[in-house]
Amino acid sequence: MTVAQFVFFCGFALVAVAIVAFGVVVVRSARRDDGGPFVSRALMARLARPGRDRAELQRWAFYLHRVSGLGLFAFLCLHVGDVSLYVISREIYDEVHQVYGSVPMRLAEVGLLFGLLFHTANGLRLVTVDLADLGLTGSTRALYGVLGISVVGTLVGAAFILGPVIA
Amino acid sequence: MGEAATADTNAGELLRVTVTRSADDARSEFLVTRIRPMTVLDALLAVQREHDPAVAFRFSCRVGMCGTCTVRVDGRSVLACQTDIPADTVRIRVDPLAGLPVVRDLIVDTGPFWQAWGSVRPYLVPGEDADVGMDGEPAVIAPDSAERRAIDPALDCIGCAACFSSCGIASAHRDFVGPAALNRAMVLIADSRDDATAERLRVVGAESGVDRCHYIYGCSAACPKGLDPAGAIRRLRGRRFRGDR
Repeated sequence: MTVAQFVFFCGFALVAVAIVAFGVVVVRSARRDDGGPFVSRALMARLARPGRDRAELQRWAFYLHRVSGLGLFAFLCLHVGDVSLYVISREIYDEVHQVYGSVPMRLAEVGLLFGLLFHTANGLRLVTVDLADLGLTGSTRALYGVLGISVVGTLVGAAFILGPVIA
Repeated sequence: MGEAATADTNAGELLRVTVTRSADDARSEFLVTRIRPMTVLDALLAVQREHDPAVAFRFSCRVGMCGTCTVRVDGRSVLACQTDIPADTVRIRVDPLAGLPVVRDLIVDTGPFWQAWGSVRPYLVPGEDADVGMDGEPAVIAPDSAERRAIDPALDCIGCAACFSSCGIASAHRDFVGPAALNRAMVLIADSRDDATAERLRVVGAESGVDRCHYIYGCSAACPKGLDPAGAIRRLRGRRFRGDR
């Protein structure tokens, strides 16, 4: 591993730590301040019941939206940095971008893809709630669509991203 | 934990009640005898009567009118007097409302909720030229009018603060007027007899107004009177591009 690659890895580790730390803050503050339930069997039972209880899923979508938003922003900052290496030296740029082909980075890219798909689709859902005046039921159904798009899109993307290293 | 609380829960005959206490050394787990049907308020009263008279909670009317007994049961903000404990439930956890300062055990200071409520001037302000007074004719909104259809489903708020506690923004001490106040603002803005629309629109359009809502829908899901504060917020936001009152 070259110095440039090591520095990039450190930057990426920082992004990962930021995402995890923010996730912990969100969940802990939700537990302390929020009206939401604790992650418990009672919550799972509520999510399994049709009707108003299932709207609780939207609270967790809100948390995930925040965490994925921070993750995307942090990664974007790192990515702007590593792409701008091209201005400094093409060799260093190539060295750093070889890291993207490693197995750990590919796995991280799958996570990034999920974050990107979820954040985008959920953002569009929130816009639709306003524009189409979606109520509790409609908004919950739209969230099922968001989750479906995110999961299916991630699986398809994962086949392309991980394909070369699995084969 | 007391001796009774360590006994096995007996096939629905006993109910384990966990109450969040404000004093760290206060007992928080209790086993009470099941009655059927049994509300959360019944369980709390049984705890107070049979185990610890110092457990603090509020209640008054017992019929879901006063909005006094709101607590969180397994995370959900509910009226204790109106919430049945399902027959197959053997344990419940009762917490004070979220986002409001705890006075003691399950009693919270609802001051921040009422402060937000007051910020939207929650009463009808008649116009200067309105015919008011004992001899005035009552101003009528026809029962079948669009105005009435907008207003009616949003009335009947009892100020229980379940929506405030269920809101991921208001309860997290962020600067947000909250669902109940915005629901009340929508009712008065939609009312053609009211003359303080401009003032209310300034409040709901400000930084702490409708744009703070992230459509978590905790408010509409939790409202014990079946109101839809999130719908009121959508209506207020929709005024920008639909132009309705």
